[in-house]
Amino acid sequence: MESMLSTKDLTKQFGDFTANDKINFSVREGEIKAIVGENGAGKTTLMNMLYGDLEPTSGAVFLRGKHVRFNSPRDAIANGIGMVHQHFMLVPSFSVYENILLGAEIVNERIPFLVNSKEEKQRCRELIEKYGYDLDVNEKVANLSVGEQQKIEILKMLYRDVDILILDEPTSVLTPQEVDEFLIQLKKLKAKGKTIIIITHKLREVMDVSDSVMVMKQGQVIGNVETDETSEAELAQMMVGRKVLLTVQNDHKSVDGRTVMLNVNGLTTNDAAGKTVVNNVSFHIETGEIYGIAGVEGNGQSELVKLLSGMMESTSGSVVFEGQDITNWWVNDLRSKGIGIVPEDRFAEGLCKEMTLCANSIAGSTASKDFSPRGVFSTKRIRDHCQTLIDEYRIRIADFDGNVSQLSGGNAQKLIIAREMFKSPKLLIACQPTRGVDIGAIEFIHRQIIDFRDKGGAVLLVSSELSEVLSLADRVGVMYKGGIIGEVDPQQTTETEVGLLMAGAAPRTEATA
Amino acid sequence: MDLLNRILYDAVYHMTPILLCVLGGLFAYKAGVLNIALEGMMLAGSFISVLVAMYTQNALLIYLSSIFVCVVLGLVFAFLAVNKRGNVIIIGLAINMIIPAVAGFVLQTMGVPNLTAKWINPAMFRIDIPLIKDIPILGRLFSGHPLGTYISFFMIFVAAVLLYKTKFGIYTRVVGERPLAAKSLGIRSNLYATLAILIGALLCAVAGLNLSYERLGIYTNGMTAGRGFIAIAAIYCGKGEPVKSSLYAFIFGIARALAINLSIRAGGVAALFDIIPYLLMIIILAINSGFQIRNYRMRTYW
Amino acid sequence: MNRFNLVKLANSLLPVAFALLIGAGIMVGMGHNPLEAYGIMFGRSLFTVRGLTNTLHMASPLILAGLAIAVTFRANLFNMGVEGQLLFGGFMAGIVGAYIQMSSPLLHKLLAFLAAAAAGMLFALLPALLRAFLRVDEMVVTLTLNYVMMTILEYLASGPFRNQGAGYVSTNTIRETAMFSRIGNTRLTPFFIISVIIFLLMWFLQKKTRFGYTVEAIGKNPQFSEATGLRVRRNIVKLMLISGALAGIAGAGHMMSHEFNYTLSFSGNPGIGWDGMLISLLGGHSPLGVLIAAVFYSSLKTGADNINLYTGIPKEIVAIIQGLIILFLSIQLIEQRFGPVKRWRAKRQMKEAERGSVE
Repeated sequence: MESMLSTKDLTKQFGDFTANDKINFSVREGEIKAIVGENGAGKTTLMNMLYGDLEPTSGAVFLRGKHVRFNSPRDAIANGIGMVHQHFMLVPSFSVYENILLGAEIVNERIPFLVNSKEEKQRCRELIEKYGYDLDVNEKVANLSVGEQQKIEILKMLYRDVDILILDEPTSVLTPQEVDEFLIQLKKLKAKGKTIIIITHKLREVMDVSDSVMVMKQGQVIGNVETDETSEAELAQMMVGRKVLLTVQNDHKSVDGRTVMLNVNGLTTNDAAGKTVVNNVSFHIETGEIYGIAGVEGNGQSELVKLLSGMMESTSGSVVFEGQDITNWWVNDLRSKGIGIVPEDRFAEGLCKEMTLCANSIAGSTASKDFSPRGVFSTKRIRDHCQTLIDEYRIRIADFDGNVSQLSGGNAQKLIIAREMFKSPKLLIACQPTRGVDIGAIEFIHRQIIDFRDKGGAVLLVSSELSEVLSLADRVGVMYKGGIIGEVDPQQTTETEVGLLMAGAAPRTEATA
Repeated sequence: MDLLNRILYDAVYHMTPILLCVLGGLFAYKAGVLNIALEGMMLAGSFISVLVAMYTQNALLIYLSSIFVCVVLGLVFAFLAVNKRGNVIIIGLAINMIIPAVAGFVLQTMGVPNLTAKWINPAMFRIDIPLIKDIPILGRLFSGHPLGTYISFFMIFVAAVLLYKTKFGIYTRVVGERPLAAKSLGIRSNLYATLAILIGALLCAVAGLNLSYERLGIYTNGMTAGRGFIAIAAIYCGKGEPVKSSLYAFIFGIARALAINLSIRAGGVAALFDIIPYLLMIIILAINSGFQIRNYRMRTYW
Repeated sequence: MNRFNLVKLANSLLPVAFALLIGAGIMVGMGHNPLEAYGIMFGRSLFTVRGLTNTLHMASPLILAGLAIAVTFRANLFNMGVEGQLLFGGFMAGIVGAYIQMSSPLLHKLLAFLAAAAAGMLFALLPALLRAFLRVDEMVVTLTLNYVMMTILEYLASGPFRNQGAGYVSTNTIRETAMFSRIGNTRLTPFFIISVIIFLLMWFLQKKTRFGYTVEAIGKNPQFSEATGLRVRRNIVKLMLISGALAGIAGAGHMMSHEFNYTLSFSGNPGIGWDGMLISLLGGHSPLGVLIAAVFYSSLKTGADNINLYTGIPKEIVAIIQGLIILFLSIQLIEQRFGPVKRWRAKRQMKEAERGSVE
């Protein structure tokens, strides 16, 4: 079959860093092509070049066998290539129809510089109907759910009559049910003759929906396979370059003499718009226990962690730590009580990219006499401390005196964990501790967390990777719409069961009752 | 009644340059560029208009030269801020500093403390609107003002249409609100940001003209006296929406009119009335912002 | 010196060079010899004992004004009220100096400094609180308060505190006990030494203590700062107060070593506070940079008088050059890894991310 869109030796360099190295990619007309790879494998870079968002350093792009050059996304769209970014490109204060027609406004026939919104709404309604979606054209995008916003993104491209649709990590923000619906929609689009390229790292979806797969790793193509000639395990192995242990060694050994370390009772707060985002959350963590929080992203986990780590205020409820009420305490007080925090966004809250390794290694302890014996920083002590962390946690660095920006995701995360563990906390709050981290570092980090637990520490582990929560935690609470909808024992449950809870299905206890 | 009439007339009189700056500046605000050079551009408009008026009585030439100079300043601002990604606050401050320096330089060279176009008599610019001028209250609000005032009224309507009903306005708002969205659709962000800044420069020229040429034909350094900043505050308070922001401009106009008209009774302390619009603006900003963050529970710095 | 610092240095020197070049262009256009003019300007302000001591004397308040702005700039705050704080401080020192009788010259000056620092802090407190607790842009508020301050001081100086004997608006001359005396037969006063001591103190705090760490962290990543327990809001208020106090002290020193009474042109045009802004930018917001930039800038100022005196060029040429320097400083002529540009962009991106709740 003829190739619809292909590249020849396409290369993209950012400075010294090669993000895409001589990529030869090809997609056939009317197929669904999956591109898989770990974070940082260069998938998005490749797509941005196809979409005219990035200019290739060298190499060429061919559309229906013809050499093309796109200077901007506009060129790409004009040539029938549309892209839905991982982070949506919608304007929140605009309505649905304004967003769909953004950049392709219909003007008034008599007064050509005025936009004809009546006509625009009509066209949008027709489009929505044609593809069987359910959306109100007048609704403001800010009021829509993530799933609905994604539909608008797709409609935006469909309105422009694209033949090739590129989707970057489209399911990462959807609930399992929304994912299923989305995959059905994809198949419908394919049936209507569209060519679809989907970037993902979720292999189940790849197997379910795609016709062929391209695997990328560290900016290079590792392999091209037909979906029905491969398996999830084979793809996973190609992605990481070796056999993957999909489970963590965790003997769930129980520590003697457990006491309650943290008790959260009825914690509630709201977001800037006044909407309740954490709703009456109650749970407790004992010493020597890992308490996991699972859930689809955006169901209040981030806010719960912010509440517990002193970055957000609760409107009601209480937090008791070792018998002391610490509700709404500030970060510095929480830290001095022995709470270590591994925040969700490591470069926003965990580290300061533009400060040195040493400066980052003492963050949170700047007031400590260890580093400023007489009120003046001791450069030697700080450097020794930093060196200790680097040695003990085998953090790979290029320049000891350089900034943190030199660190890869995994090493940056190790630095945070090293720093937090060094203060021997009693409670560790870890939010998405292995996101965007390479496999080697993931294993290391998991080991640290389990060792900490085994020594009697209490851990709150929040992660959207269900397998991570289930394999590490001793008890798991599932969050849905701001509340904990159910609590499960990870050794007694299955992913499917938890998946149902994540989607808001009634907890098992009630179902059987 | 007479006092009320005078206050209303003065309110419009003092509102005009601020309103023009507001309507010009809100485009840049919506495009995500904070233009604090409104003050300097307005001053340039004032300076050039009187300077040219000293040599010619050709109104068109006076208008065009003022506008030309301000647009050039707008281009400089846009080039540095948009193309060169400079710090807009610093660029704005620099322009606010250079204009009075250049004007002062010229005044020194000419050997005069200020510029006067002697042929100008404010009465000659007053345009009475038939019918309306006889209606009580409305007559004082909408009649007997110079051209700049009518331009400013008309511009409220134009700005609203431009911002919400044309491609230009839609794109400008996208550029300010979601630059990445603009980029992903191939909307030329730089172009729209530049155009938004230029509209601001254009209306600042008209504001400057209104302030000097259309009043007494006198230019003194520092005569804009912070009106550009009040305009910025009005834009902030009205979140860049033409009608809302204009209302704030009118509130400031009323405060100024009250200050002046009451000073006749109050004596020396009356000078302090001048701070009312500024304090009012800070209070409005604080209330507005406090209202916006009333549900904010994050402890991050904003 | 590594590449990073070289780039930083070039980014400070090139704007000055460009501005001087354009200034030269204007002079040529007017039929003057720019080399001669600059020769007079810098020669007489830097290369004669009299000129140099003059320059250092004028630099004293500039150093403090520059430090006042630099300390907030580093934390990504924009205290544009330094001018108003400086005027307020100078005025208060003038009042304390003129109306309070004290036998000890030392205590009198100390009291004046304290009053001025308090005045500067009071002015800075409102924008600081509004910024920290109500998210009101500190820049807009401080810019606005400058006008309020000028109006109030103009009223006070021309009304209640007017020196009736003077033919122009002015307060009473301060008492002798509040005046700094000259060192030797130069114009230098002990105020210069005070400025240098405060500079050393700020340099030390910046380099060696938790204070410097906090300022740097807040400036580079406020979210990180809060998350590691630096109490950003509280520190913002603190920093603004320090800035206000420095500005107030600058005003008081200027009053007690140079002006001796408050007039409407107390801090010149553009005022010392605005000069401080340029000095801070020029010095890359580092204490040492501020010191060097303040001396350079002061030489421009003293040179301006000479240029007027010895050539026919209006002294406003120097104000034009100053403005141009700021204009060129607004962009990074040579890209560097970190600077106000990036900070400004980061600030914008943050705001944008905040607005864009759709993600």
